[in-house]
Amino acid sequence: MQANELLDFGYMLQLIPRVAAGIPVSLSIACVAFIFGILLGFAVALVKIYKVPVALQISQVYVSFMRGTPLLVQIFLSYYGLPLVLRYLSSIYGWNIDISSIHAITFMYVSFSLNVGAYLSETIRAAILSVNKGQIEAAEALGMTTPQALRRIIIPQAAVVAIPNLGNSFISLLKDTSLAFAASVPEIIGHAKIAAARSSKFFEAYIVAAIMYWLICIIFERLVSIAERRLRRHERGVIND
Amino acid sequence: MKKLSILTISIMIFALLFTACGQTNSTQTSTSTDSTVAAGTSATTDSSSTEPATTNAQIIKVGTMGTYEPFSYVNADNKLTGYDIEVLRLIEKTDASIKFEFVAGPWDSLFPGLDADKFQLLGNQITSNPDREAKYLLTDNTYALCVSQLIVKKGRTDIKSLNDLKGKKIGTTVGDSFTRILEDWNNANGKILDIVYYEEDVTTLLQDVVNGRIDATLNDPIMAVAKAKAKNLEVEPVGDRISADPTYFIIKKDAAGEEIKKKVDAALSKIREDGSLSKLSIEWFGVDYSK
Amino acid sequence: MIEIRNLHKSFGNNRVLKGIDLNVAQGSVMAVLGPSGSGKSTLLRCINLLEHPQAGTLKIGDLQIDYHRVHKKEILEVRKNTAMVFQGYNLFAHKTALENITEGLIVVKKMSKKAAENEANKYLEKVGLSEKASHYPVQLSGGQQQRIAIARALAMKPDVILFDEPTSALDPELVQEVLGVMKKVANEGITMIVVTHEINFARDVATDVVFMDQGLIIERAPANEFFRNPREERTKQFLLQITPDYNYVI
Repeated sequence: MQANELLDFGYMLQLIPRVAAGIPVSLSIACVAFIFGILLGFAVALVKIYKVPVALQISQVYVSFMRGTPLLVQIFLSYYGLPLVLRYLSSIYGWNIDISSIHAITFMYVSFSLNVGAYLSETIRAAILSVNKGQIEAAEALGMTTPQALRRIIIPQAAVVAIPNLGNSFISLLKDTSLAFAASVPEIIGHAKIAAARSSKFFEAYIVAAIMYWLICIIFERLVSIAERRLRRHERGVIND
Repeated sequence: MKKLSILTISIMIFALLFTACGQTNSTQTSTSTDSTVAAGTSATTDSSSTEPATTNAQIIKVGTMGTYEPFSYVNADNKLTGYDIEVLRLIEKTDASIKFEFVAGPWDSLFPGLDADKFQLLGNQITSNPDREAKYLLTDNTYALCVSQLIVKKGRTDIKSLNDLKGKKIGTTVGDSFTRILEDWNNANGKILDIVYYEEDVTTLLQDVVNGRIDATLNDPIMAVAKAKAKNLEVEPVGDRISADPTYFIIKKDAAGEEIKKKVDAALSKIREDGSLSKLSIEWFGVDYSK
Repeated sequence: MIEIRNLHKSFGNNRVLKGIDLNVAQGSVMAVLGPSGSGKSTLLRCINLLEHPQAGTLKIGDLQIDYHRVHKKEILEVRKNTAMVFQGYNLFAHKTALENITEGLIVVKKMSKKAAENEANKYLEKVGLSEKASHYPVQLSGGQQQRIAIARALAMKPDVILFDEPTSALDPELVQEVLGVMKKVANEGITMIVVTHEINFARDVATDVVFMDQGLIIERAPANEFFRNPREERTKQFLLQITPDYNYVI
């Protein structure tokens, strides 16, 4: 069997611009979710470190649920479950909430942010706790308040520790965006599926999508690497006597 | 020796799992063997060369959705039934050398499953199109007419035709024939449609029609009415029929497939000629869709 | 200018400070001596509230603190008026030598960056490390890092500088350079409380000496009296242990 009997390479080339149409969607979901995820994760990390009452218990349930249930289920429950719940509540209370006015992609931003935030909270918490206690004591002895010490001393050093893990999470998130199509949001794999369903050339379409994800991830891996090197600037150097 | 015992145990478990399907079918085949001996002689002589020596009926696995009222669904008694399923059972009665085993799965698993030999035949109101004809075998005979109409939320009066959908959203399932109809119409009419693609089954689509996420969907009106009743959804078909395409059984394009096609086609011709297919259609739809 | 009364501190069930009363006069250099576990460091850290005592009162200058009910604001006030030099230097790893000194000036004293840098350079020069201004701590020796830590403390112009075993972590060759700077600081009349094992430094530079053992102050005296005429038996034992060739006049 020849190679072009296994795969229709011409078709694959044709597919590239079509599947690439999903890249902006995938990237926007990943970037928005990651930014909000970091904010959320940071808040949860602080709540856990300083053991803020009530918020602590809520955070524990939140992290446990988000990490313990499949993302696909979360997307499903939020996107398709919410309208059903609202319909039920409307029938009882006579509300008239129009779910259709909320864009599907907004649901995606929320679902993905909540999900990645739970994972990031643990990364961030570990990074903050890894900062040498002496650094914090020196900041406090100078008369810095806790927010000042966090902002100027702890976070910059925690960030360096967290970067490899954060980069990992982002790349993972990029691939998780492939689930957005379950909510009819056409990102990379969604476009591939639409095309494949029409032509029945599933193999070709999925390979094109996979290569596209890979290329994007390689680019981000490089960016993370550069960021890490710059942040570790202060660690370079030899002790001279 | 160990491999053989594992094999036999697996076959026994496999057989046990499918007694549900098998039991309902076995009574039919046993009563119909007499009537089919004469009628099915041509079938049996054709199949003798391909039949495995140890079994007396060829088991053909059928891929179907099982969530597509009233063509393929699981009823209140947990039994798989529906027009498409019953047509296939009718075919089984007609040709004693065939036995169908139904495997339910989501729409987007059917064609890949056929490719990978998870099933040998697909029965799910599938219409023909150039890509499918090139890649797969379709039975020569059809068994139903797949009609499509716009389905909207009950009480809507502003949508009567595809043109009315300009600026509105129409939802459709990735890869099904209605999607193709929509895409083709859209490409030929200046792309005025805003098509929202769904991966999930048609129930989700109809729910979104009700909650307003999409304004309409294109699907079989019989299915829509049946689903609406079953799931308590306020939807209704409107406007004219957009399409009326015959449906076929889909078979893998290879030597084994050719044999299956021959048998199924022979049985299909028979039930068309003797009127039993028309009878089934009227029983299910009140109309004879088999013509 | 510092008055400590009835200071009690426990860590869980472990009583570390069992009632400390101490006065430190302005401009004095008080050396705190004692065996490990005597509570010396804890005493120091209670002064700037890095540790929270269970009981006692503290008076620094005009500030009056009751350890039973300390407010965050009071803690910040105390810390603004004190500075600490740590055994492990604790320079901010991600900041240069100069930035380490300007950090407190900019964030706590609210100085402008320019003004802070001017001040910082002065203190860098004072400790003899002007040429290392843009070096990161990882590029400096222990002795250099500690000297910069002292500059960081000095720049805040505190009422008192607390030294927590400042040379204990240093290689022996580097101890002298730090002690030299500390002597300079002492000569400028800044109040210092120094927890140390360096007996010679205590003998040469300290004005007063406190000896602690098992959470209590055993003896406190002006420096020359302490070394020439220790009163308590325990003190004598301790001095004998750490300076084998010690002789004292009864």
